[in-house]
Amino acid sequence: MSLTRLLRILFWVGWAAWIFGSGLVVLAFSSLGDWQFEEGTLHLTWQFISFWVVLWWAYTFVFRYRRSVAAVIRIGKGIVRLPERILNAVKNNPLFFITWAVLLVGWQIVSYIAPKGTLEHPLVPGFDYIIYNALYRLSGNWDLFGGFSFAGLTLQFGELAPFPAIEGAESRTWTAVFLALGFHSFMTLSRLVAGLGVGLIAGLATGLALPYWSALRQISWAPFNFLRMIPLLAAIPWMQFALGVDLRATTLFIGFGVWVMLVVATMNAVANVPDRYIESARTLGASRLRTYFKVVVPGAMPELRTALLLAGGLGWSLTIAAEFLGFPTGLGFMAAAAVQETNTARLVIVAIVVAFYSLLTFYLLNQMFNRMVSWMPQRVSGTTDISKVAGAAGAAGRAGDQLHE
Amino acid sequence: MSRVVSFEGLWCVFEHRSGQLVNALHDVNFEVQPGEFVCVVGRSGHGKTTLLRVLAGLQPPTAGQIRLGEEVVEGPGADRAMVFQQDTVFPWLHVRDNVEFGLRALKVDDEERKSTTAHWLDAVGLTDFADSWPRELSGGMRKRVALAAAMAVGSDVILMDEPFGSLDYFTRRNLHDVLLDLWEETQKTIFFVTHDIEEALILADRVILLAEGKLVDDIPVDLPRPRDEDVRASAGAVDITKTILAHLGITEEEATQV
Repeated sequence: MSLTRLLRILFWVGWAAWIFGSGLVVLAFSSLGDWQFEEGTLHLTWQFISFWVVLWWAYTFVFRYRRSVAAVIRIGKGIVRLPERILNAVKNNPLFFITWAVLLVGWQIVSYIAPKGTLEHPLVPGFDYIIYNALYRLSGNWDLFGGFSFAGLTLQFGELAPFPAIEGAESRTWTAVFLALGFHSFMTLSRLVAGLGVGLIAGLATGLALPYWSALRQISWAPFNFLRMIPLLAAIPWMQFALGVDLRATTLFIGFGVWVMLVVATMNAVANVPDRYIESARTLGASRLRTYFKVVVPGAMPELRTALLLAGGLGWSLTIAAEFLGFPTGLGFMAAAAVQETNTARLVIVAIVVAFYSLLTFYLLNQMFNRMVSWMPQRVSGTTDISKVAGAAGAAGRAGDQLHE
Repeated sequence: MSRVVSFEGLWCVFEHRSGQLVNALHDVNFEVQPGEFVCVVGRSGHGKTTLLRVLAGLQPPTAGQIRLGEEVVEGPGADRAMVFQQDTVFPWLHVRDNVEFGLRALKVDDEERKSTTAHWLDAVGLTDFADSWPRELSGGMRKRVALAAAMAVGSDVILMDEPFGSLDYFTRRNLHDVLLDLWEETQKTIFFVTHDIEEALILADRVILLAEGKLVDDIPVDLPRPRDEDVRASAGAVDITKTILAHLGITEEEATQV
């Protein structure tokens, strides 16, 4: 075995162990007191993400030097060409943008003519109202315990905008608005990444391991389908009673939801691998184990794409829903607080922000998957234009179509 | 080391959903000498594919056995590589890795694996496409990949289940030539299932006729090779065609039902 190959294997094994292990560490240590919990959460999850990024780039630069240089150049060119691409997208798919324009302008018109309602804020807030009365007032709504640390580098946010706890909510600046959105997004993303990471890895591992033994497959089919039917949103209060309101609870909760869904989806994908590939491999002399890893697993990948995208969506809805009930931070908390204050405009902001993040998640998961199944004919790919990214629902449809080609 | 393939009292019974029993193979007995090119001919649903699948070890027989030399067939193995009717080239592997698949399974050492793969890619004329994805190839080229993959594992028996059925006429004729060249070069025993009498006349040393799971005739095809249009129009070829049609052709009863 060559040294490169050994390094590669060590890298991947270490990487998988690290991700799964840090999920477990988060689970084990996050049951501290309130304040310590938040700080512990921040450090653990942020390290989780930053180490992931650093390791990924290290791997890419060591083993795929040329490709990564090419990628940097491509991304640079992409940014330079962005205005041109948007313009082209408008030209190529005017209907898509017309739909958006009609929706946005229509909303604004409705905001003028709709009844104001008896609440403090209008039932249909116009964009002017949303921006000046809701978005700007978010500025007092952030708290970062001194700053972010990214792979060892710490950024002090107190230097950028007045610290809300000291200056009070009246000192409003746009910097503070973005810090507030950033802070709550960060808390939500921390919970999502921890839960989704644990759920994805456990789900894929279980879903691929169970069908190897037909007895296990038959035994586990019914329980997993039963678990899948549990109304997860209704189980949130139970989760809080049993586990508390902390990162351990959300990680277990989101991880559980994603795990169950992925196990069922993965077992389905494995069952749908055409028999002819398996039989062909067997007559070429492959053992059962080799056939499973070299034929069944790759053969199940195309169908797993859909499952993975759905898992991303499920992760988002579970995170927001969990935060909605009783968490002191996060986008779900922002929504819950807005409901308490009957602040319709802030609800709109949360909706837009969450929609933006889920599109981004969808795009990233899809990109990741395209890398993994580069052998498949691709339509949703690296050269995706902006209209395809924004039209996530449409793209999901296309990804689905392409499975049946 | 080539071995005689013997079919001994082979039965294969399937049970329908309704509980009705169907004899896919009905007491089949014959023997094939090493290096023979055998075409199994019959109408669809009359046991051709079942015979091949039992030989491949993908389907256990209800009774009887198949022996390769002294060894009884008990499961799939690389000593009986198979080319399937459908497209079985793995779309997630490059052409080269597809051909190497069996060799890797057999744990052949690196150097030998590379040279064997290069040899068979060259033999089917795909050297230039070694690093392509299967989706970039035509249907005929993918069949060549499957053929090369089956040849590469070095079995002395090759099973082919209507491999060229889905291809157009010209591609099929071209692949017949490729296959015959490989057969002459390697002297492997080939079992070739087809419903196309012309294809059987082009390829076979011997035609095994199956009807309702029974071996109804065993016809030697002693026409000179290459079997060009003149040979296939000769009196001997026409006689063979007539014999086959007499066994398998549409009966008067069936014709009137349509």
